[in-house]
Amino acid sequence: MALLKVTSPHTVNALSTARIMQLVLLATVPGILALTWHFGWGTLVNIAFACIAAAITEALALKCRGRQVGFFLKDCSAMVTAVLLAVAMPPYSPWWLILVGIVAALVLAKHLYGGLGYNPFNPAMVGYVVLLISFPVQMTTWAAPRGAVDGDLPGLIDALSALLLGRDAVAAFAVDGITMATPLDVLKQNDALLIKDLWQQSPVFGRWAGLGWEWANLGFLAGGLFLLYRRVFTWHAPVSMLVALSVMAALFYDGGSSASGGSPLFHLLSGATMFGAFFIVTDPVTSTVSTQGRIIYGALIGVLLYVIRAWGNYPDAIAFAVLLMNFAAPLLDYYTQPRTYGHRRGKRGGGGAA
Amino acid sequence: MMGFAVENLQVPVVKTTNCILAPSTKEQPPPPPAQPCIRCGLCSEACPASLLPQQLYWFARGKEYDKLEDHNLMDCIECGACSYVCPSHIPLVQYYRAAKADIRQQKIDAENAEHAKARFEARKARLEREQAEKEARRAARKAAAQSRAQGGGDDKADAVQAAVERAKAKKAETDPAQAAIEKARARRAQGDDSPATKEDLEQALASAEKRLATAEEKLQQAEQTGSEKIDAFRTGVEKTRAKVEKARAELETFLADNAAPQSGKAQSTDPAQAAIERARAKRADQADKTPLEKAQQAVASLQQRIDKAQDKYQKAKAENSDKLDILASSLEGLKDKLATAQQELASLQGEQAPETEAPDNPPADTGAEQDPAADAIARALAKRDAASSMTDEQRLQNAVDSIGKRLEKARTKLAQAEANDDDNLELLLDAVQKLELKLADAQQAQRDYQQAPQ
Repeated sequence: MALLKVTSPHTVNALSTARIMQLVLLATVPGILALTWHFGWGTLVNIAFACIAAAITEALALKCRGRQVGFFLKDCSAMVTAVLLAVAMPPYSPWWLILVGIVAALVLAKHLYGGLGYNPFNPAMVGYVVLLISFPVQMTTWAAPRGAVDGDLPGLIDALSALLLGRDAVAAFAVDGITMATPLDVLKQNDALLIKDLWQQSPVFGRWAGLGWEWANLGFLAGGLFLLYRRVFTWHAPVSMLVALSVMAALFYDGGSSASGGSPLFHLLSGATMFGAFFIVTDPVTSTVSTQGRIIYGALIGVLLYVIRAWGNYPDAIAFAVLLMNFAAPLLDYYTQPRTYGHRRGKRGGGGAA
Repeated sequence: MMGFAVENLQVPVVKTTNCILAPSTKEQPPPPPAQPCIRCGLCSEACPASLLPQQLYWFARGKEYDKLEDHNLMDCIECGACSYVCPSHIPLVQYYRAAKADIRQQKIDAENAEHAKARFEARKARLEREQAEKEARRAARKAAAQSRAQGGGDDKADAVQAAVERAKAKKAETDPAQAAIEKARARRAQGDDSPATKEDLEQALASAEKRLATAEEKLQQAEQTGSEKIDAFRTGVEKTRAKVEKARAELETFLADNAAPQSGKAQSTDPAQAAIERARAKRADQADKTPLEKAQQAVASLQQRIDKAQDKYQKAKAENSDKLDILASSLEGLKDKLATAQQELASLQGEQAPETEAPDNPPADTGAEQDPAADAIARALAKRDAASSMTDEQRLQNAVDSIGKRLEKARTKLAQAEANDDDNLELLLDAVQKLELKLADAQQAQRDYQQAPQ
């Protein structure tokens, strides 16, 4: 009788990496639906193209590295990166923009470091930052939301044409007012009006935050809560980040004056806050190891986010905040080793993330 | 979840077996291939010991043993919860087991290395020490050779002599017979005319007899085997017999000469007896001599005594002793005695011719001299006889009485000396004190004896 030589434990959980990735993708659906409803097909086209590009890029990269393509492609991590990057980018972006972003994300930030699990920086955010710095114009022209545009939103054909040919070649985008600054952008540029006046004047502002953006954020919040329920990640990092952001916004609200940075609610529901909190900050590969570390990690991201939004050069700063804290994650690991059962207190300097 | 896979069906069930799992492939599929760790942190949520399995995994892969110990790898109970929840199906427990074994082995190796190092150091030190000693000896020899070369032939002869003596000494250590021979030779070389003691003579006789016995045995053997050396053995036996006779004769003469003192010595160390012997010996010496010789002998002995007293006086003066006065007075007394003895000698020498005219004087002198000696002898003999017939109690009482009498005498003498302010005052005081002590001891002995039988 042939007996297998196996080690304890002799059974495994049903949960797998692929399953986790699939859950994450599932959780983005509400937010994407909201975005699509308010801003048109652009987001979906972005996502579709990004996924195709990611699959091809990942396969090529694995082949170059000499790894089993099928085995590694099965864990769907490339898909997740593609979706996250596509959501972060402005809709109706040209194909080459997306491709550059995907390549930068997957090859530069992931495979060059050793593939899944070995990258120190969030790949989607690395891709986004590379694009933002290399192509600032394309990366800062956002579409106008449903309530703010006069006619209809661009259709699917228009979206595909914009993807393949670029926005300028598409007639639908020649209309004035089809692109608009984001609410955060508007707030940043403002230095004359009070907040409530600004709200009345600019069409991009919705009930609590930006028009359309608030629903997108609420959608991503729902998705995040779903992931929390499924225990894909712990609450420490996202909650800590949102709390820190709220605190900072509250501290510097300044009573809604012209110099104000915006209310906490505004900040929580505008831009990529919820998206960042539940899908970017919770990326396990690049965050800290212990829960203690995650609290600090999330809090500092929130603080940095507000700082860059209010006083930095960019209107939205999830990418930069997260990347900066990715730098700091090993240091946080060094100081936040939890107390082992039976020992006195957590050891300091127990070595950082490998 | 913490069990081990059985390798074959021969493994028995023992007392500590609590469960056997025999799942099918569907129930428990073989472990899937491990995927890369996505650092999700589910393992640290599952760990019952609040460890960080994720970090332990990374360190175990990188073989960073000190970081593993910092993260308390040894606290892992290998329950397998982390491995169970891991979405990438990484066999975490296997990594930890291997890492633990590596750490343990490292510690053992380090200890062995320390031990080996210590032994090596000790060995090195020992070799160096031996080398240094060798060098020192070589240097000493060289120095000695150099000094000898500079010093000349005498040194050489001395060195040779020293070496010969050393060899002899070494031989004497190992060979007692040789040592005895050397001793006899040395005595003979020194011209030691002192008579051998009884023990030496007896020993000589015994060894000679032994040699005779072995020689006779050898002769017998030779006669039996018909050896060529029969004549040699015969002569040897005769020589040895002669030696035995000589030794026996020596012993007998010695015994004859020293019969009385030997027997006396053998009996007791009674001081009275010793005094009697001394007096007898002196009388025996003096009985054979003429008055002239006696006078000369007296002068010579007095001179000797004066020399001794003079030496003592000088020594006492140098040390500034208390007994200076006493010694001075004794020296003067001796000098007076010497003067009278010399006068006598002169008168005797002058009367050498008319010796026959006064034949009675020497006998009278000797008779007068004899009287105190004979009296002393008689007294001592009487005392001894009396003592031997006494019981212990009587003896002790006798001792107490005699010491008491002597003490009385000494006290009267002391009183006289104090009255006359004699120079011998301190001496007498010492004597009185000593007698008092003796009396106290004797009385104590008597008391003890009286108490003991009760």
